[in-house]
Amino acid sequence: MALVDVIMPQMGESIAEGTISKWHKKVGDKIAKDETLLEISTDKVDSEIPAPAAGVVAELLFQETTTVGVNTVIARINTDVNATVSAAAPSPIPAAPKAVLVSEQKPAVVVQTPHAAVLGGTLVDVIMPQMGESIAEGTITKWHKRIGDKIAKDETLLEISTDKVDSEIPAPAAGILAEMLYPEQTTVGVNIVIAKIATGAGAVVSAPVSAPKPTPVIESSTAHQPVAVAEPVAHEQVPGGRFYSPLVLNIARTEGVSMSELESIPGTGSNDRVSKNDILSYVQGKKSGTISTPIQKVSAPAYSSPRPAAPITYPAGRVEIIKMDTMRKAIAEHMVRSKHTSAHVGSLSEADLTTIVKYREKNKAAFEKREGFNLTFTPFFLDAVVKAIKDFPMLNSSVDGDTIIVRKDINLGVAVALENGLIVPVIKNAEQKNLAGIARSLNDLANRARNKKLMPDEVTGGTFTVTNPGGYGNLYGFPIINQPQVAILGVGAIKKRPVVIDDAIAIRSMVYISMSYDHRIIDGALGGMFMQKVVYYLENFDVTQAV
Amino acid sequence: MKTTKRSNPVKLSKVNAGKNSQRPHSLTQKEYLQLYYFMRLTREFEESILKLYRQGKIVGGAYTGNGNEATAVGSAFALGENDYLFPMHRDMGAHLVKGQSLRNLMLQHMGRGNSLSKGRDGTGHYADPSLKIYGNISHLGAMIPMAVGVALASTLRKEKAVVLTYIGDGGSNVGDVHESLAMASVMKLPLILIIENNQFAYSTPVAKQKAMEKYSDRAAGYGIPGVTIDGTDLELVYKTCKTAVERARAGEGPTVIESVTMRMHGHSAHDGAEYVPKTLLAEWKKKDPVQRIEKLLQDKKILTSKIKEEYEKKIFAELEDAVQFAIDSPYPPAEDAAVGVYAV
Amino acid sequence: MERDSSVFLLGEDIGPFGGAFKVTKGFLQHFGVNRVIDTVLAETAILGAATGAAVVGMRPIAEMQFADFVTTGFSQLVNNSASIHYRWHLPCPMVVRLPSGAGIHGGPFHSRNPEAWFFHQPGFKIVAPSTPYDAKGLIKAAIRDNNPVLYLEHKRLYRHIKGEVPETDYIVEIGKGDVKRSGNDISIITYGSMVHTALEAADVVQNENGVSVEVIDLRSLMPLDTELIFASVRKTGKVLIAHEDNITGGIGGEIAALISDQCFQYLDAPVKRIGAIDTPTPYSPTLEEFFLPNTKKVIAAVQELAAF
Repeated sequence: MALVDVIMPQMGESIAEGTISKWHKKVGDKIAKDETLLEISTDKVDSEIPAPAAGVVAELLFQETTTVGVNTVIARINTDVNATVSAAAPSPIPAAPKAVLVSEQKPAVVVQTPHAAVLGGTLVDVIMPQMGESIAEGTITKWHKRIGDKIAKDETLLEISTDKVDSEIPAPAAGILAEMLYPEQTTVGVNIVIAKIATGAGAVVSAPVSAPKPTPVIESSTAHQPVAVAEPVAHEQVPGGRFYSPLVLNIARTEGVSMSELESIPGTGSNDRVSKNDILSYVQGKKSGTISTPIQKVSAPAYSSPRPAAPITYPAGRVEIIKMDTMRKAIAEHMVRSKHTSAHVGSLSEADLTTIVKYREKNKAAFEKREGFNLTFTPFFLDAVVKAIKDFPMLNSSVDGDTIIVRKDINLGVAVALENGLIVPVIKNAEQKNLAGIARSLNDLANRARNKKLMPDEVTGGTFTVTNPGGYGNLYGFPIINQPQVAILGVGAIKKRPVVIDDAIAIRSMVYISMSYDHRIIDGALGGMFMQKVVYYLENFDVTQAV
Repeated sequence: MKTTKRSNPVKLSKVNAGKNSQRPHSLTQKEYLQLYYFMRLTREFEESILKLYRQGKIVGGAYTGNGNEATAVGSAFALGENDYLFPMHRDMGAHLVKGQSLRNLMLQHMGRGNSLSKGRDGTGHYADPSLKIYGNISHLGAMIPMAVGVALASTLRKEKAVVLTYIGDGGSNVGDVHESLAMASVMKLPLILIIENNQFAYSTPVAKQKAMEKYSDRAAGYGIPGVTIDGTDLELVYKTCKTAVERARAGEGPTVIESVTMRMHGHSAHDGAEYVPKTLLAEWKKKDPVQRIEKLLQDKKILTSKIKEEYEKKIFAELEDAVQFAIDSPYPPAEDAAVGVYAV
Repeated sequence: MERDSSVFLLGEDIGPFGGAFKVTKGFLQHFGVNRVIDTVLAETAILGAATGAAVVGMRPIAEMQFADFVTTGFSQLVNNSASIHYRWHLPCPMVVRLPSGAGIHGGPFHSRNPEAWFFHQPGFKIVAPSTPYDAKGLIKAAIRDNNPVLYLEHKRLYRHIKGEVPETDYIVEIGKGDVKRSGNDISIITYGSMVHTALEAADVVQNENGVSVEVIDLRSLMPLDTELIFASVRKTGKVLIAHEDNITGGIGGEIAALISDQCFQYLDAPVKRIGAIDTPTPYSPTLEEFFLPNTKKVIAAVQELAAF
């Protein structure tokens, strides 16, 4: 049977559909070429439609008053010479489907069924972030969504755990979770895509997709190779670190400069940026032997310090075995490495805090009313430290082989105790903040630290750390330097003590300040002078300042 | 790829004014029949386009000059082979008189790869230098400055060729028209401008387009002759244009001819034109130019029923051939869109 | 014009008067009224007529009295001239000469740099010479090209810049830029009047800051000599695109996009642009100075880029 299609024509540029107003023929009727087969109506014009061929009307696909899209087949004519009217009743015209507005680009189909999968939209990758300079991997601890769930931008999608920090990971875009590539408890390398979100209007899900097979990228139990190899540069931005331009990374890649080396190159560009010339000089220096490769940062979550020759024995049943979690392992590794790196030496001073105590008493109510949080003593110490660093910038530096890198930004790390460990959020550019500013930053960071909402660049890039052994009532502590810094200052408990002033005994609020520092570059004289400056700023606090 | 020109039993002959100097511009019997042929061909061609449009076979929009056939055919008939034609969208008859094939016109309407524009543009929007036809673009009036440039080239090169072009009642208000007349008049360029006053510019009646009584009144403003004629009178159109052509060829400068007709169909195939009063259409239907010439030639005993039948048979066969040829022709390959922006 | 009799000029006041800038002074006497045509004051007619004459095989050169006035013939250029070859498969060998540019107290309507409007329309070629040598070579190339060519003549450069011009018949190929100054640290991609501004700035930063600047004179804006641009960017890693036209929507944006797309791995700094601020050209001299990118501003931009 030779069937010729009759289509709904496009009666005008912007017309997307037409309505069948009246069929002039029934199924089985004869029709001549160009004879009127039906009348249609559109937004622009009503028109008679002539048959494109002679024959017998074989099919009328839509009833009168149906609206169909342009180019839809609406009828068929059987052009066979022998085509006859069927003896039986002509086949009924099917009931009108729902009229659907279709775009004029597509050849129109009246009804569309959605696919049983995620449709359309753009897929946005969710990657395992780098939560700290030396971090190479993270463990997925908990997915907050399943495939097919809607998710808003910045809503928590999953929780991860790394050597440095546990964190909630917010979704980078709003949409529907289309792919979840690794199950919980999988450890994957930094920057690996772990999920995909379908964004945009087209994103629609009708059927859930089963969870993918677990394929861990890195075995979490064995110690593994250092990350610092000659292919470091899948990404441009070291979170919390400096910006490396595409050219610099390109040169690093071709010249075999590792990421950790790159981090150690002094930058002459803006914000200490490593410029093309900086890296080229470095490469030149390496070649000519004037620069020794800096210490490779080994970022192994496994505890990699040398084990004792004999295994530890213990009587069965008389011990409790606790497996170290990732944060614990990270802390252990970091502390031991720090001791192996720096020539730790300590100094102790005391400061008369009475002036500050009185000032704080006087101002704390108004401060709390205005800011919504408590004004603790810590900001005062931080403020004094910042001022002292400005006087003695060497305390704000790092050691790189034979080079001392004196940093201009004072990024103060403040140790915060967590329920199962500690974390050191960093107040960036504290030198630009006043006392109230420091207090605010500190409060914000501490809160978020406790709620596991710190961003990666808030736990990296520190240049000097302050810790608080006095928080538990202890007089003073012997802290371990936070690498790659060269000093860490501990603040003891503030206690009232009898002291001698002008040959008389007075009761004053006193505090011990202990500092551990790196004797490779900070000698006792410098360390001592610095601490005395801290004391000075504490004791000579300007009570006329507002907070 | 060019298609072969329509094999035409009726050849367009040069009209030599000198031969008939006593009866200037009078037509021979042969020429009358040629004119009749082109009138019928134009009418049937456009009817065919309308049918195809309603069958979804025309790409984009379709325009007819139903009611304008005498203006289009009569004016183009006054041209010689070396003269230039810049037709507008209701002058399909002019394309045909100038020698364009039905196949080529069909291909253009269907956007095929072997059309004269290779599918780059549709309907009458093509150029055929072999016939000296330079088709219009959608911007009304935009071709007239180009027509002036061609007239200028003709003068500089001493070609003695004239340029015939058209504009509608609405389009004649566009600045391009006036700048063109300003230039052509002061430089005495060989241009003939036909203002096709068909009473409507889309839905806007002519009373809303002009303040003066006649469009041809504007010609005086440029210091050139202007005349208003009945555009359904084929003979009159021909003779008026012939005079203008000779004027131009003699170096006397441009002429404006306002040819008054009625737009019998909507602005385009998708315009129902309910805004046109039915009485106006009924009135003008009586002056249908195809019927008029048919009656005239029957009265003159030039058009016999045998000849008429013969012409109809030929015309429908040619149309059938052209439609099928176009339908069977392929669209241009998609990647072709990216080439040909520049001439080498 | 002596080589090819199909070449003729049309424009306002170009005959006995020799043109508003005296570019065609003496031409009428030499070539006669059929080759040097004073037209009516009607840009649409001038440009449309040029297009018509070109389509039937002549080589017209239309002069706009000021680039600003090309707007009144815009429709002819973008609707006819540019797309004739694409639509009709016929060449349209015409040239439009456009006295353009600011810094001559011209105010908003005598100071335009019109290239961006036409850069965006497929079908044009656009050239902007900065030296007398390039001016001669490019006008010859433009006349011989079988496409509509827009030829930008910066009004300030007419008489402020002097240079050696060979008497021979030579062309400067359309689509080829020129290294006007070789350097290693920073590339300035520029054209027209800004070439000279860039060269001045380059001298200053060399002497004061030891920064070595390479100045690329595009000469052709459409088509762009992308090979030359990319080679320079690969060499220096830092780019400043400089044009006198308003910064937003100026062709510098397209050049920056091309560089970022094709030279990403070679970039040591973001791609920077400098141009006039986004206002019409103001009239009063203090306003115009603020408006235009001048040597001082280019120096500052280069120094900032060098310090990145």
